[in-house]
Amino acid sequence: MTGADSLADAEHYVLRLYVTGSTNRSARAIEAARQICDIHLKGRHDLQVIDLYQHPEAAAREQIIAAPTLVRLLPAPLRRVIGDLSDRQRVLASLGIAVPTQAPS
Amino acid sequence: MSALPASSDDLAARHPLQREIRELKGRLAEAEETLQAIRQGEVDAVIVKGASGPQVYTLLNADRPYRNFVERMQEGALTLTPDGTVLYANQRLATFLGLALPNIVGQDFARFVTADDRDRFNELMTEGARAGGSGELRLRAGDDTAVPVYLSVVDLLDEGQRIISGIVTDVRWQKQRIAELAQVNARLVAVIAERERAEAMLRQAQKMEAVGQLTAGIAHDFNNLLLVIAGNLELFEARTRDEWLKARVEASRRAVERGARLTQQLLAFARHQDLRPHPISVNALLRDMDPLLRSSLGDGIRLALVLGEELEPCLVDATELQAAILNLATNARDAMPDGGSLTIATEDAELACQPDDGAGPIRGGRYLSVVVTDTGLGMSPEIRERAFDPFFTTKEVGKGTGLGLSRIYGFMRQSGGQATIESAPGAGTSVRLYLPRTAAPGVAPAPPAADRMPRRASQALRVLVVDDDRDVRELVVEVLEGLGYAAIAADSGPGALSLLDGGVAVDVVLSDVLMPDGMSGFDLAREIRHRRPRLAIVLTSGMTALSGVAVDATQDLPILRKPYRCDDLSRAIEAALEAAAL
Repeated sequence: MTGADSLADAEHYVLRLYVTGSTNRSARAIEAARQICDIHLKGRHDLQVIDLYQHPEAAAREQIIAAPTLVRLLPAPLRRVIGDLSDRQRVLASLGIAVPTQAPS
Repeated sequence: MSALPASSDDLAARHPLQREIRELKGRLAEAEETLQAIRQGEVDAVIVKGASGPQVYTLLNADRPYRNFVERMQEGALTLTPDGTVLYANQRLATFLGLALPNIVGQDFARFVTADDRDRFNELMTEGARAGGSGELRLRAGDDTAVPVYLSVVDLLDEGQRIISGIVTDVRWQKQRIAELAQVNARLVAVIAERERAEAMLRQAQKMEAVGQLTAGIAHDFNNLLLVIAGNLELFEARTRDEWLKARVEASRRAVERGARLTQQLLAFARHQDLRPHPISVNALLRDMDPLLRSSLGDGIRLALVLGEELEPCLVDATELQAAILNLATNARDAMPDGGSLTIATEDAELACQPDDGAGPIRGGRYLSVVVTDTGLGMSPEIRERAFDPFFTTKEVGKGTGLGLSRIYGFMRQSGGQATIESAPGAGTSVRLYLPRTAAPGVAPAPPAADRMPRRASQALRVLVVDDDRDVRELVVEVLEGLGYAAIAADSGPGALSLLDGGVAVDVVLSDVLMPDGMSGFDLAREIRHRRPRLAIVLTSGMTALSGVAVDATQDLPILRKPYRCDDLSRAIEAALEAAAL
């Protein structure tokens, strides 16, 4: 783990999940995002879920090209994870969230 | 790439480039991930730039949850063209209508609306749908039953084409619940009405009892006053030869007699009447009254006697019953100014046991009922409720005393029976008298005695007058002396006894019944019987049927009703003397 990652650990995360309606994949994506927030970002996150059917204009803002897409707005820079979120390690790596190897002292 | 070790300058020069490369690598990775995700079918939709902003393109099967949602929901769902053709209907709607979906889609939906509600449906489609509207309709189910539903519609604009979506909710259950609630409510209303009726009856009974006590008290005192007035008038009349004065006295005496009748009726209502119940055949009594009834009803009114067969005799005062029937007939006549018919029926009747409402308990069981029914104007509920009240009358001033029905009511209750009224405006009136039956053989009532025996000369017989009212006492002494008796007076029962014990010579004791000092006229009579069995006794009272006063041994004593006339008094004394001499 690098020092920069350690610093990022303490930072506040703002995540936005874009889905389209209530498909199975949407449901799984919402569930996965929730778990990541609860387990790895406890107390330092905002998670918003946006249905693109209801708010298609929101897609333009973050240049979303497919759903589901999970976007890390903060800390900068902006990062996107597209498609299946069930591979926890891949998602954590993409979002730059450090996973502690042992319990913090 | 050079294998040479890089100088610090080179590194510095290359550093921004390396950062750029790192960023580009990152973006490339993201782009590849995106492509891979799309390629592997990990996304539901792609978003492309359209003329009017981003457009969401749903990939195959991504809308399946919506389809399931719409198909499985408990409401019927459909889409319609503006002219009402069904474009889509869910399975639930098909179940509602009891039809297969192919028989619904493509049809005019108005077909499935009951004829009565079709205008309403068309109105919803034209007016309601644009901004969204809803209303209640009945749909024709496959088995031709009408199913009440709630239909809400709203316009959907799909690529410029107007489509109407509708949701159909089955409201049969709600309707049923409302109907059940209405039933429960109706039952509650009935229970409340019944309770109010019972309370009204109780109030009425309590009122009758209170008014009864009041009138009894007034009548009693009033009779003493009338006696003093009448007696003094008689004394006055005896001493004048002036015809003009005699005429004035006669007019006054008639007024006293009217007053006496009034108090008699008040006492009757208050159940303090001197009733003489005997076993009588009511049918025979009514047959005897037939000519009298016909003449008092007049030509315009038909009279029908509908007499039940094999009725048991009743224990009732015949004279008072005749008066009651005649009174009811007169009331009926007045209620039928344009003629009609009067029916008097006798029959067996049941009365439920009723607790003491103040006027005495009613023993449940079989009674004989006399029903007097007219085809007259009838009464409103307000009037019917007050019909038994004393002095309540609907007749013109001077035409009725307002005591007729109250007297009948008092008479019935005192006789152990009941009187009820059924009436409605325009539907005539029916008064029902419940008479107590008896096992003793009934007889036709004896015709009233023509006149009693003539007055006998009285040779200075000594009368002891006992009355707590000073005016009455003085008057009676004066009247007796005027009639040729020798009179002495006592103001109470104990006073009279001490006079008798003191050896005063007395032939007749004339005593009031209701007196203070704990000794009534009955008590006094009992004492006298004990001490001087052969002494003649006459009791007199303004209120003769005395509930609660023991009469036992003195039951056979005649009671002279106040107010009485001089010759009534002398007849009563003579009769008592004769009885004592036997």
